[in-house]
Amino acid sequence: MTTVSVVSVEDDTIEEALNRAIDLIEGDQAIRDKKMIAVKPNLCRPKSSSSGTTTDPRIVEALVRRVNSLADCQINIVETNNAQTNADETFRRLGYQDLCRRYNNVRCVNLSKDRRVQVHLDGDIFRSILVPESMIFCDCLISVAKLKTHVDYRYTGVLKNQYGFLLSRARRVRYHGFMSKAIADLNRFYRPDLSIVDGLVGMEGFGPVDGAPRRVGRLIASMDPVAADAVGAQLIGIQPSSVEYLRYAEKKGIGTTRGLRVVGCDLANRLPSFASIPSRYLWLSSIALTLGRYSTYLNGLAEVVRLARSVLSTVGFPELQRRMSYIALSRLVFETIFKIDE
Amino acid sequence: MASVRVGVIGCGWIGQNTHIPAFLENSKSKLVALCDTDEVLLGRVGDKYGIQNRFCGYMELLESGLVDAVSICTPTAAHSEIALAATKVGIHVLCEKPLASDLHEAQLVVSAVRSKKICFMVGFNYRFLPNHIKARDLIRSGKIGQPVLIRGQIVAAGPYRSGIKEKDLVREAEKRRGCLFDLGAHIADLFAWMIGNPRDVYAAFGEFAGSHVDGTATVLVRFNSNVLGNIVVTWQDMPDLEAVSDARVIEVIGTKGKIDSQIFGPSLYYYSVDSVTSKIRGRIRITPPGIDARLPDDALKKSYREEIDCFLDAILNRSDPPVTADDGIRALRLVVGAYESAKLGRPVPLE
Repeated sequence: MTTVSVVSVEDDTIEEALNRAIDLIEGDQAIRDKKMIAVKPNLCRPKSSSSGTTTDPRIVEALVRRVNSLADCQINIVETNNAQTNADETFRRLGYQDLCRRYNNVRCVNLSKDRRVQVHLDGDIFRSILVPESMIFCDCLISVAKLKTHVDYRYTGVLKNQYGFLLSRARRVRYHGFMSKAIADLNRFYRPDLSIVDGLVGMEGFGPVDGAPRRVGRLIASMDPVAADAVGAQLIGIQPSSVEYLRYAEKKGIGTTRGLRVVGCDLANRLPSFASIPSRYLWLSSIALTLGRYSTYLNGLAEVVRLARSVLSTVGFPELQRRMSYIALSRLVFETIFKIDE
Repeated sequence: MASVRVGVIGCGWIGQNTHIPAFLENSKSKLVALCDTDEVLLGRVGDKYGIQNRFCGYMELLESGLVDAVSICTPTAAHSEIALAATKVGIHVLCEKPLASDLHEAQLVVSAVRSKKICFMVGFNYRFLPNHIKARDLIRSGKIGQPVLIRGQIVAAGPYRSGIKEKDLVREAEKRRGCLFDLGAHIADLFAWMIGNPRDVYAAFGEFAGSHVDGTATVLVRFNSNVLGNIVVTWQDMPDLEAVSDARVIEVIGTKGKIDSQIFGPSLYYYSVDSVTSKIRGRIRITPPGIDARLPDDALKKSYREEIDCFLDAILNRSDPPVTADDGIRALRLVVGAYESAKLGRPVPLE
């Protein structure tokens, strides 16, 4: 049975709460004896954690101390540049640079500046993604997400936090139409060994960036990212089954939303539900996402034409026939239209 | 010297499809002359690329004063003779692999190069494939622990290349001097480049039907570092790139992981017991940036362009080329040692 811990937390009990949350799920086993640990907070905007937008650096610092008590390792706090800001600037403004200065083995890594390689996932939507090299060589990933509503997908937490690993920031919006598949693909590659949700201050309404902060006073932890999100959603009054990407991730075997053993606080004592998003906005979101999907397919079609031009001008059709089977050729065309190379 | 005046000697497949286009595209070079003993071929290629200076004899080209550098793309048997002549008149040389047909000829070339201040590079273009560069980086930075075993395997068309008639297959195979000579030189160079100097070699060969050269070869190599190696090469007419992609590989096994780097690029498969992604996904396929993994031969073509760019840079900057004549002789020594081993029926030391 998958265990999820939910513990109460206040500003002056962060370290104690985090340690308890990890103890309750026996999370030390994910950390012990590791050599290179990546910690991924949610730093989608350079807005403070009290705004409900980003992960509280005090929680990450408590995690660093816990990790240091268990392993002699390098800890990389990782984030990528996003649509509007540079990760280095966000690290500086939100206090993560100061945190790193206090520990010899901790550094902030702007993954957008890292050397990158193309990794072939052959996933549900991503044929390949660009991966920062340091993420290939780390031996433990801890995702420290923020408890928030999402204007398009109702809820965002651990699984969606891995969306921040996509390096091509201009294209990230284009992938929104395929969010469930994209999240499943990314979490199959970047599956966290330990998932933590910062619910000290969450966000309600038009999350994940334009909503209102809401004090929740809870930390969630689990070894299973889907289970952590299922409990996070329930905690703010959202049925996990109503979050499409959670259903999809469960179907794809990334984790489970069912039969969970919740320890720590009783979920029955949950807070009054978060302010939800009016249905007319969800409707508009749905139209935008559908149009985005078709635009991606059209781009794929244009790519097939470009590819044909390149192949025919360099190799020629008779030689191409010699070198590729018809099935391989058809698959190439299909995947170029319906799959994405980041 | 603002740009290097280049002549290409040998207008066969490799010259036409790789060297000539790469020199024409590169702003650091000016392709001014072509040379081939086949006058019809020379005329056709010269017309196609608009090169007016055409020579049937390489000495005429070398003495014409038209070129600063030559690229030798002839069959192997002529490599050392042309390389020696070019070196003597002080012309920079890019010589296709292998450096020579035997060690004695190769040593003559190396001695001549040492006495002249010219840039001499051997065309081991596989070193410029980004996946092999990445594989070497991973090995050197200990990402797979200590290497213990390296295997290089190529199934390639060789004499079956399109355009060769069936009746000419044996002649073509003999011109290439056997599949180990043809394909094994590349692997021998990659082995030494990735792992270090080989110590001894033991080999067995299978004949190319109807000829007296090998069509299949397997070679066991022991390196100075005690790493063991295995070269497996064969000429077969299997053009489907995807179908035989698993049979064209440099595989390196270390104490903590494994790399399979596709011989013709563009990707490598990486697995490490220390990597969280490996733990979840097993081995992952990686393509270094700048290559379109969907285009057949994109990586291989770019490797020739990169090789030629490095050659031109070395001439213009008066620096050492990335692949030297000594590298050429080291690879050749392994190949020649393998043939000797098969003849003697025992391992042959290489140093």
